[in-house]
Amino acid sequence: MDKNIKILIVDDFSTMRRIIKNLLRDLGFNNTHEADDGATALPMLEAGDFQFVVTDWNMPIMQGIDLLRNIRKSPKLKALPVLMVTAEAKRDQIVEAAKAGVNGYIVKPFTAATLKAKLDKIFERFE
Amino acid sequence: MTDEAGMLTVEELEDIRDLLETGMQDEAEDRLVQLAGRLKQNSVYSQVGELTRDLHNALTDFVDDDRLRVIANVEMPDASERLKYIISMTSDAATKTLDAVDNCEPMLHTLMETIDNLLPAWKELMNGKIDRYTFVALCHKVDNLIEKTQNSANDLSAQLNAIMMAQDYQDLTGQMIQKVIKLVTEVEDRLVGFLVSFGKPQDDEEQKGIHQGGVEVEGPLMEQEKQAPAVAASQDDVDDLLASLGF
Repeated sequence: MDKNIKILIVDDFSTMRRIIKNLLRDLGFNNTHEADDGATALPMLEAGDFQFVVTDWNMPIMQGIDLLRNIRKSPKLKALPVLMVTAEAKRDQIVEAAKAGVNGYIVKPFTAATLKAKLDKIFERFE
Repeated sequence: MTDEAGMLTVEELEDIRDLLETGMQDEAEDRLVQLAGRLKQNSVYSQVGELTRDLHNALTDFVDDDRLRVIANVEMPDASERLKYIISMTSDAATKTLDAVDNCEPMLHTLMETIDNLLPAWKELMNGKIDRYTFVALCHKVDNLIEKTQNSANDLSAQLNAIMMAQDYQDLTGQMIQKVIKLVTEVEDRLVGFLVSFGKPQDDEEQKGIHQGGVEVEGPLMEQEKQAPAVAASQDDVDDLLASLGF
């Protein structure tokens, strides 16, 4: 697994962004960037060479599920792996995220071990 | 039988009978219709009157209730402020804790680097194969490590202390939340009282209809809500569900 991949963390709460950033750093991923909602994230993704997205669902302006749909619609971004880390735990929502093309789904509160397991699983499929 | 206005009396019925007996069929029927109309009107009017009076009283009580005025003008805005303050307190606490963790990170990094640096010479010493020059160098490195560790221990202690102190929000926000809960409960009781007196009974289906509408964001679920079948209660449930969808 390439630890230098450029990762975008999307969450409206700065503390959650920091926690995810710290956990990713502990796992050896140092090239992380942050956005506070889907509307901020999408242009960053279009402009930059991001290789991975970790996003929350419930955010102002553009929610995570819509960010995911926009990523899958974009010719440039459609293959970008997206991991959803969210407090949304309804079965309907998980099915909806799966239909929209999510690559992994973690429910908050989560542990470092869960994050590592999901990352490993996603990258295993992409390599 | 009473002579209260609106009540049917024997005299009235006897009048009708007299009319019939004297062959005044049409007049008798008119009287009967008239009587029936009066009786019907009376009961509807009196019911509406009673309801109107009760509603008026209840509304007057509601409007004149000083406690409610205090709740609406003072305590509700106050509760909103408290909740906003709770958001900022929890946010501050999380930031302080994360800052402390960030401050520990470089110390830990330096410590590990120093250990890595002296480890080869240390191994040589432990295996009894160390030369004099390496031994002297190792002594200096160990001396340096001791000094660094001592400083780091003090710093770490300060950072751990900062993390501990940041947890004071739990006590403070807890007390504020208690106060807001008390207010919400009081308002709830009063509204329920009002609805019980005048509202039509609302069945569960109707209430559900008001809440539902597509897949919406819910935010974190409470333990109780996690029992519902439509909810994936744990990461394992989420994984199982995704696996069943071919993930």
